[in-house]
Amino acid sequence: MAYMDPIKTTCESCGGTRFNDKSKTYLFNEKNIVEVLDMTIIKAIEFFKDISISSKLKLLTDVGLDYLKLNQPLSTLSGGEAQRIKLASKLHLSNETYILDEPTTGLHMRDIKKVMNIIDDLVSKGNTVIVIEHNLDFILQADWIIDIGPEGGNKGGDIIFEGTPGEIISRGYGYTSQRLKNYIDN
Amino acid sequence: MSNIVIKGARHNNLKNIDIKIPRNQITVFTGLSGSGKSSLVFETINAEAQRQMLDSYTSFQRSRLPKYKKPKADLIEGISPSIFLNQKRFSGSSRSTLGTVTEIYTELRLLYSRMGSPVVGASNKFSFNSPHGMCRHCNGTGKSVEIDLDKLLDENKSLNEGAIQFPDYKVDSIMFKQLLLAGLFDIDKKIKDYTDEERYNLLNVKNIRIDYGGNTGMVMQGNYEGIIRKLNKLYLNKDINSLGERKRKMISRFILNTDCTVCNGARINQEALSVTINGKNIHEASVLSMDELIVFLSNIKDLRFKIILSQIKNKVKHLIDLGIGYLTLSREISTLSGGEAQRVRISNQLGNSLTEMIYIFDEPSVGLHSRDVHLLNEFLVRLKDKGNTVLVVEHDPEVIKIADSIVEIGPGSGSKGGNVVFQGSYADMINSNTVTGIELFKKKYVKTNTRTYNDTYNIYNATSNNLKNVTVGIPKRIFTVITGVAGSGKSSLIHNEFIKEYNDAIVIDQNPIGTSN
Repeated sequence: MAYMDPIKTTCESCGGTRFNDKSKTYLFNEKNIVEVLDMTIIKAIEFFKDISISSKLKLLTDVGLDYLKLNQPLSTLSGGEAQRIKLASKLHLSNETYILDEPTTGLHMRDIKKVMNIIDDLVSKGNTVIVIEHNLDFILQADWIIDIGPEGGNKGGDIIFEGTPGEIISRGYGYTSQRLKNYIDN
Repeated sequence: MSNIVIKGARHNNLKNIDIKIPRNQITVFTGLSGSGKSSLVFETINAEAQRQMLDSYTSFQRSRLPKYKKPKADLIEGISPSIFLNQKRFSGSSRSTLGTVTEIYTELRLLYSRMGSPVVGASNKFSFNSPHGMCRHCNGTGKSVEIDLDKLLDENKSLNEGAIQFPDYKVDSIMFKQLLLAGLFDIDKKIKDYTDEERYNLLNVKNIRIDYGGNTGMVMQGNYEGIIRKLNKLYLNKDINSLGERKRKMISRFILNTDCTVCNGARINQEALSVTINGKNIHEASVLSMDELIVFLSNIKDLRFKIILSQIKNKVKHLIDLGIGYLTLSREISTLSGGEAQRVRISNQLGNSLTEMIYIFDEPSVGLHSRDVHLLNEFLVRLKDKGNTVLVVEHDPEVIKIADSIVEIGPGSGSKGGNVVFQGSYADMINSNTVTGIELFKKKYVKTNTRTYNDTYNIYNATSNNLKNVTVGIPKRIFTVITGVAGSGKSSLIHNEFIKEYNDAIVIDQNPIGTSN
């Protein structure tokens, strides 16, 4: 029988909650730890309204992850989600240099604005923010753009533009400039 | 036209939805992060298609295959076997390269063994993973690892001032005292003033007997050996992965990865390297980019090998068509980004003649510059034209545009999502008034109130990977975007050059956090 599928069932004793009975008897605002951990971050912020926990939870709202549940295993997060959690844990620093690699991955156009707000916030605290990105909306919101190219591989590796979004559209050349012009005209 | 029919889908946050998705068309699923797109496409449609197909295997075979949970839905009809092309990076050792996973290198080996001159025999004589082909010095890895002298020693200091940077040799550590007891050095002399002999004694001398104990009355004897000799013995001659995480990190600061001194990074032995076709040996062919390789192959005119040549050329062309023509066969597969890995998987699909399948994509535009998105789009259309159903989860406006039908899940995320808020064509979307509709058709905004800077982080004459002697200043205290087509050198500039100079930067990447559940 060793070759048969392993059969996984929910733990009979805790019912899959991972906590023992005693832990579950402690209540806060009529909810035990299991019920709290099963909340989405949106719900948990309401639940912990005036308690310091809620300010930490709000960081996750800022990075657009408030639909996650508190008990969600980290191993089930997508690359983009993992990246935004890391970002949330480093938001309070100042005078640092941040490097973000494609932070728009997995984000809807509307959610990209949230990342943009976070970056503005970081810069206003005296941080340097450097982002590697292709997303056109995102590029148009930068203070400074460095375009590398013109092509990939051996035909790349040169700086082909340095300047502001207005400048890459008015006097830039190369693919990024072309695509940006195209994009704002449509 | 037939449909995939789903009724009462309730997986995760899906609100008991009913939906018909046209077969043999391209359907794009969009919506806010967390709205339920993945729950519908990956965890309902893909899971059910995979589950039913895998159910046809015996339980022995199933125990070795991935497992899928039955999705929560009342009815799922009109599905066929699915192929899911995700964003997972390839895992694998340095022995897996682009050439081995696409089997282009495998076929190239065959070509070299049959057509190359001189003739040396079987195709495994060209494999760096086979004892018959590998370079004996580096065992086919092409690399050798050495201590970096520039990092190890601060030439402007004396031993007493802490010239040796390696933590094991901190002033007053046991190893440091041992070094002094050898009695070979003037501990106040700066390293740069050392004679060749003193330098040799410091770094490479073989065992010298020394007495410990000093004036304690006890005598203990030991050996002193040069620092490099010692560190090689302690760390480098072992498998570096067997050391703890911290130790490994510490050591990696002091080592220099260089090409193997015998094969110069070619990984295969001299006999195999002596075999050429049109003046190039197999290693020289595998460091060509796909764009260059196709030219090389096209110049081989020998009717006897027409079939294998066209097979190789086809595969190479697929990679070029998908916008990764800048990669080389020798590129290690674990170093590919998620987007590149996905496109390699896609290229492996292009050669097949399957039809009536469901192809499922997770954000295939990730990592693609806007210029290259049309290459992806052409590929999606090709799959459809072959008679397949194509389902794409995507946010990129340029991919959404080519969809035959668009499905938006929403309106919000989490418990505020989970409904089908729009289904129709791109043209219909203009008046949809959904989040996606509004974003797609709003006026684009170019930032004009850009911040200015006073100071820059400077990188001088950067040459790693494909960088062409780049000197650039990256502004401090403002928001800078580094962009360019895939493979242009963005990562080399930031992840290699910038980090090397300014290593206290906080890097926020997409690697998974932690490990356990």
